[in-house]
Amino acid sequence: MLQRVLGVKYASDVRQVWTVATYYTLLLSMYFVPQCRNIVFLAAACAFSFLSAVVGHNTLHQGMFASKRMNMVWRYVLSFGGLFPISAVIPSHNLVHHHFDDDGQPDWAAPEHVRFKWNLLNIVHFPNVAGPLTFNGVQRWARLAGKGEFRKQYTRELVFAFGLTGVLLVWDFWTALFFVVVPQLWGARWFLRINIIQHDGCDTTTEWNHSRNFVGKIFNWFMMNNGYHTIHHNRAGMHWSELAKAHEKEVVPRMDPTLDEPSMLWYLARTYLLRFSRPAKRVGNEHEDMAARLTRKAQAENDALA
Amino acid sequence: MLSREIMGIACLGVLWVTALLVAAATWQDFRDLRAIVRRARKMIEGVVKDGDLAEWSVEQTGRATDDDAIAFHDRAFHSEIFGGKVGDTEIAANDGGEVWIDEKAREEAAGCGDVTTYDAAHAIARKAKGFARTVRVRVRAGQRVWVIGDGEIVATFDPRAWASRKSFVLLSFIPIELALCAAATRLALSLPRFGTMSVIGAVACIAFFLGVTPVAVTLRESVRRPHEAFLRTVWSRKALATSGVAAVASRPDA
Repeated sequence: MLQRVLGVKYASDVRQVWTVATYYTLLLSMYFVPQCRNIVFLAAACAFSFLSAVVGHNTLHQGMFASKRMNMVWRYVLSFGGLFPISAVIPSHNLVHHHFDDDGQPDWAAPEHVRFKWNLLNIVHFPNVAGPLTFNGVQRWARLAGKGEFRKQYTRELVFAFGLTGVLLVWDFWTALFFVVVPQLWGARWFLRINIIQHDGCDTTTEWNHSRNFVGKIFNWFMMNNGYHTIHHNRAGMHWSELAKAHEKEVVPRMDPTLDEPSMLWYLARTYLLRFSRPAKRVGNEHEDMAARLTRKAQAENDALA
Repeated sequence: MLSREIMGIACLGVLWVTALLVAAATWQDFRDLRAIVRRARKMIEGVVKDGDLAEWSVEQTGRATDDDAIAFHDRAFHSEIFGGKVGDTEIAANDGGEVWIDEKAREEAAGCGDVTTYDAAHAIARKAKGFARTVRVRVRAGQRVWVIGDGEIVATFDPRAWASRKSFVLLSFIPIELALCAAATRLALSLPRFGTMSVIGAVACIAFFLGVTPVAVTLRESVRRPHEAFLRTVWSRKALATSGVAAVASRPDA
């Protein structure tokens, strides 16, 4: 019923709409109702800002709505949520990150872009490097022939995201800064950080051990199964609701079992708080044919052109 | 309730953590350059005798743009030191060495040539795979070179001067960046708290927060070791047409 009303292709996508609606509700509550300007609402808004970016990621892989126009409108909604044009995900994530390189140069969000000895500093600093590299790369890509529609959409999203945020700042500066801009930037920056969390120390030259998976059930309910990262990389077109089963079937028999982490929180604590140095990069013992990855890359580029 | 004071302090905390991390990362790059300067104390300078001493190359893919140009994108950098004689010193062959070529020579090698070359390349560059090419520069007999270590770095310009100049830029950036952050913070803390001046200060803090990282990344890319410094390059038909024939506009892309 709800699926029909919302016009989403999959029943499970109702959860994505709910996630973004919850985020907007939290922002509006804090902006308009002084009593809501408390740590619980702010923490929830920051968390849902990140989850909205995850929704953005999913929908840029596969339009969520049956209507093309609605998919485009949805991009504005998500762009305001993270204060960046969500369409940037197409070149930066779908075309570059999924293949771990930019035509031979390192992925714009490769963990190696940060190199502090104290590992905690690496995760804190990571968005400061990956963000600008991403936007520089997106701009280079957007100049290429046939990207006219992308450029228009990107500019419109940019104007919408910064325009609406600007209006809120003009109307009530401090409330907008503390209770709208802070959650927006929190979500966008953790969206970048997820790259270092999911790939640091992994061997991105392999087909099955390039990513770390977080397999907690509750975690994946909120994260729309984005914890299952290996299968997402290898089968980018697969709908997120099918990732858990595919992970069990295709990835688990082939991967290094230590790359399945039961809890992201425990992984973060163990890796960034309870130790000083960066864990050593694992060296793959696979010398496999990477033709599958090249085929996927060609397919992704064709899709982007289409 | 989260008061403005608490939120203001938290935001300034995040701002300063970011500013200090950017400074620390810049310091890392500075340290790397100083290591080159130290190693260059035992550098030799001379003229290459007989044959080719070394080669630098970059594999590129060119793709057509909407303004009738081809934008090249660097894929993989290669350096090879064949070995030879510089002055009276014998330089051994070294596969792992770095070949540093001056900017002018790299840009010349990356130029287009003529309209016919451009048109042929453009037809391929319009396809999804793009136009692949390799830009090569050889260090030949008669050229003045600087060599660090036993052929660890072969450069067509003074590497010590280059590293000193770049390290000075990095070192200057750190206090400037921190001073700007301090100025924005000072403005944000103006009395009356959260008044007009304070709002201007907060806007300056946001601008600093959003602007400092792209500047730092640009700076970082500008000090990439010359053997893997981005070449990129754009071939523009318009520039070819206006410049007559052979001399071709080949400008670095961003």
